[in-house]
Amino acid sequence: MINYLRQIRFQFVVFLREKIHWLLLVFGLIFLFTSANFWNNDTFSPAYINSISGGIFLFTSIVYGVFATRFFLLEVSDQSQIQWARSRFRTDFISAKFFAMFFGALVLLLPTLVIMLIRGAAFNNLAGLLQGAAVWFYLFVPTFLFVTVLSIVSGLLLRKPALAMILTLLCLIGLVVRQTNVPDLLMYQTFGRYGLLYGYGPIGETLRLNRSYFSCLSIGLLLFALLIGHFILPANKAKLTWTRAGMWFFLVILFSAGTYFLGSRLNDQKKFIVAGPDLETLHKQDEICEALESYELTVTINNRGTIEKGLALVKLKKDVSIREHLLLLPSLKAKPVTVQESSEGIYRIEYEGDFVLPNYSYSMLIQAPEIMSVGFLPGGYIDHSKLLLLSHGQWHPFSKCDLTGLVLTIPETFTVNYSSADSSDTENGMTRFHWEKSLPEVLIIAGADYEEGDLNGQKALLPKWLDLDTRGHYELIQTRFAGLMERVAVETSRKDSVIILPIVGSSILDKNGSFFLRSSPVTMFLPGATPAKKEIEAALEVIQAWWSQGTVDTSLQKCFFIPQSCLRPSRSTPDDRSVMPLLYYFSLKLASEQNPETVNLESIIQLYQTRSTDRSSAFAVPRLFDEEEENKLLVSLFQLDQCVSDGELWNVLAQLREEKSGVWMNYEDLVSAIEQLTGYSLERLEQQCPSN
Amino acid sequence: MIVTEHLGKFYGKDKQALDDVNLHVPRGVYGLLGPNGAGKSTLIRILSGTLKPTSGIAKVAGYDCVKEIDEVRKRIAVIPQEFRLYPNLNPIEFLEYMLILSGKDIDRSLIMKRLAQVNLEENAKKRMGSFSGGMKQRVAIAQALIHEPQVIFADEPTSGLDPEERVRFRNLFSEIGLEKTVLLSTHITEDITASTNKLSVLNHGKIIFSGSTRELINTAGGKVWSCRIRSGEDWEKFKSRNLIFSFTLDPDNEEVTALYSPKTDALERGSEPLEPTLEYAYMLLVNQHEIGESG
Repeated sequence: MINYLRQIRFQFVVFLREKIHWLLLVFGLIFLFTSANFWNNDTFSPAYINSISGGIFLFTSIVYGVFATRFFLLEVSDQSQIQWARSRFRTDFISAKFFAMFFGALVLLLPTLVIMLIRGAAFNNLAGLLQGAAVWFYLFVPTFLFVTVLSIVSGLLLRKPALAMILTLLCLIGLVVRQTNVPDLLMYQTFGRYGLLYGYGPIGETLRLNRSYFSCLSIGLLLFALLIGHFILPANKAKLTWTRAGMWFFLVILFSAGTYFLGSRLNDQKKFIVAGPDLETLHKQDEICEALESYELTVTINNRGTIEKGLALVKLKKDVSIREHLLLLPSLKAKPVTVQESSEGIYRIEYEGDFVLPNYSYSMLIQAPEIMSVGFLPGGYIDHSKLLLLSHGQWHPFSKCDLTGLVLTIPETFTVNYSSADSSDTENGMTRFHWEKSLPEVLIIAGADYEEGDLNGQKALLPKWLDLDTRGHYELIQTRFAGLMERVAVETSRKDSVIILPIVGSSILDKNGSFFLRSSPVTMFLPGATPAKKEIEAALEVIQAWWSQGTVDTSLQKCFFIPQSCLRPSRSTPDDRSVMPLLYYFSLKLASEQNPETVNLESIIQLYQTRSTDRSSAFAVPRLFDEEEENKLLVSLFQLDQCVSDGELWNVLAQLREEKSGVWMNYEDLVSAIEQLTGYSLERLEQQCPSN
Repeated sequence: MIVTEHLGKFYGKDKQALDDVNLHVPRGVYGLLGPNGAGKSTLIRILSGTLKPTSGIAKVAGYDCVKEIDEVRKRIAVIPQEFRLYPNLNPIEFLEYMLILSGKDIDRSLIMKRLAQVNLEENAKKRMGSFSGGMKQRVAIAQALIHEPQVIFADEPTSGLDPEERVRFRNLFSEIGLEKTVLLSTHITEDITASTNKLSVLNHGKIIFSGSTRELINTAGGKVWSCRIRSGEDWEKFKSRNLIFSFTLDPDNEEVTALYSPKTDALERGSEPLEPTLEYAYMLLVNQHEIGESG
């Protein structure tokens, strides 16, 4: 063993002493320093390390593949008889080369990690740094394992350095140019940001499968190389005994089977992941929800994150066809769903299956507008011991409808971070949670990498790896949340806690008073924004969550986050000329009330006021509204604010929220509602309130 | 120490590299003389286990070169005709690696001893990429000695060396031959003359002579002559009738002085007998078919 380790050490030294191999480090540093993310001075979280490493490894691995092939073939020629005539060279050659190349690449690229960690040290706590390092290694290992083995195999098969290097290069370029967002067996670059850091979701699952697939394929190919090496390499001929050949062959078969299994699993999942949302059924849901008298659900989830048993008992008030309109996830419909009518209007629906999140669940992925507008349909995730369930979601058949009762059974081993259940009991290693009547939106969070902490003195459940910058964003938003609650909250039993909500693209203010802040709040995506803009956007994040009344409505969030999605001719939202400026005005107001030194409401409104006459003010406003009415509404609301007493306008906003039926409200309704509440008409403010 | 019996090697179906080679090499330096392409390198590759014979048996130190190759490898070292060292390493590191590959512990004093033996002490820590051809050849000899093998195969070890290096090498091989078996494969007869008195001659894959250098030289007795011929047409005719070993041209007298052996029994007029050397004997031997054909 010592002898073998010495061989590896020697080959490792040879690898590092080759000056051309240091180009790997040079390229690594070039990609690192030319990455826009690297120069972002505001944050350096594990997500950034993930993103930058992905880029570095994609390009350096191609260069490395060529170098590794050349290095592997250094001794595979007649000019290396000196080595081949020695007893230890033949048996250990391939594996010693493998380790030397792999660890050589690791050492050469390690400075990129060190630089990133040094840079991240100012932003991250120790857990964040460790997480960043883990991300780096997680991405590095399967990629470079694969390229190392690919180099060995092409070297062995061709044994001419030039030809083998070309083959390796073509294989790698082939893999790289077919980059795709769609999860794929040979998706070479990893999009690990979501899944890797938070550990769930289609990208998380496919990332794990994809990386496992590459690793298993690499080990299988390495074993294959070790086997054929006995026949191909000099001096190895006729030395393989049947027993050893059998052993190698068995291992090759074993890993090939593993590769096949992982590949099949990924391909199976792919069907569900790339499936689009069933929009026809989605549009039918309102009709079905209206027809429901009661809708009770019993769900059992096992250790593997599979819905072992789902049973919905449905009682209808009026006759509607429900069989064709089950809005379950595609993966939950893979096995037959049984719908039985026990008596008239009473149905029993049974289903089971894996919970595979489709790509349309991701607000961050580029999707078709009609898909982007449907919001977070799955309503949670179930992934091994990780669990998040919202009361509206495709984990039950009528996902848009309100449940009237729920019994959820999960293994006792699940670590429950949060539950809004009315009661729970444990029996036979399973914990049963009961919800009755009016269910809050967030039902349960389990298995998240949380720790209890506080944000500005308020109780909070925070990710363990939280870096200082992200924490800063959370604190900013929490300050706005506390400020908003002071001004508008009427709830008395609220818990006032903040819980970081993974995966969901919207923050939710639960009817219980808990504020579920999405893990990537909008302010994180405004690295170059002025402090004033950040203050305002943080207020907006809170206000829109509050405005949505405990539901997840990503359409509103998207209008704010991606304004273009609302301003297209084929607007999918009912009216974005009233609610958006309304909520934006209150964001300005909240931010300026809480931080008047940074946000001067009057001067901002002045910019909106002069926007039609002064073109330069268009660039000065913190957020640009395209339509003239929207700018006008902002100004009118300010004028109204001047007419009414202190705090009255906040009451108006709270009343509007109570009275409206959904997220959206058209302009005329808004104007008349305000007139009813205040006696002032936004259209006649100049007469009614002449001081303005 | 080295025995081959009816050893044969085909490359593909038609190209025969070795044909019924029978060798018995005792301890000491043993010459394997033959022109380029005679099969010397193939024979050494079979004996060192990097090539499998098509037929026959090859044994080194009593071990079969196919079935017991691991045992053979423990006892041999190879100095190939062409080899590639690691240019970014120094000789010490390289010899350490050779010890590792032979399954031995690293012994720095042994390494230094071997480097001293090949006169590389002062360059022990220099990159081998900066070495001259002779220095690289000395590293190759040092690696062959490092694990104390019983048998060393040296394939054309002096080709490309300057005369001084060549002399040093010959002496080194003679010294090594006192303790070990060295199969010295070469096409340069001086290497053999200076290092051994036992040899075999391999030509077109066949052993055409085995014996002492004296016996080989004796085969040329009475066959080597010197003669002066006028240049021009006479010289052209002379060349076609005789096997020329060497010649010199005297432009002033328009005469050529040639050392030759007649292809037939007819001797050129004015010829004077010469004492045969190993080189003439070897040339006569490998060109025997030519002489026979003409005769």
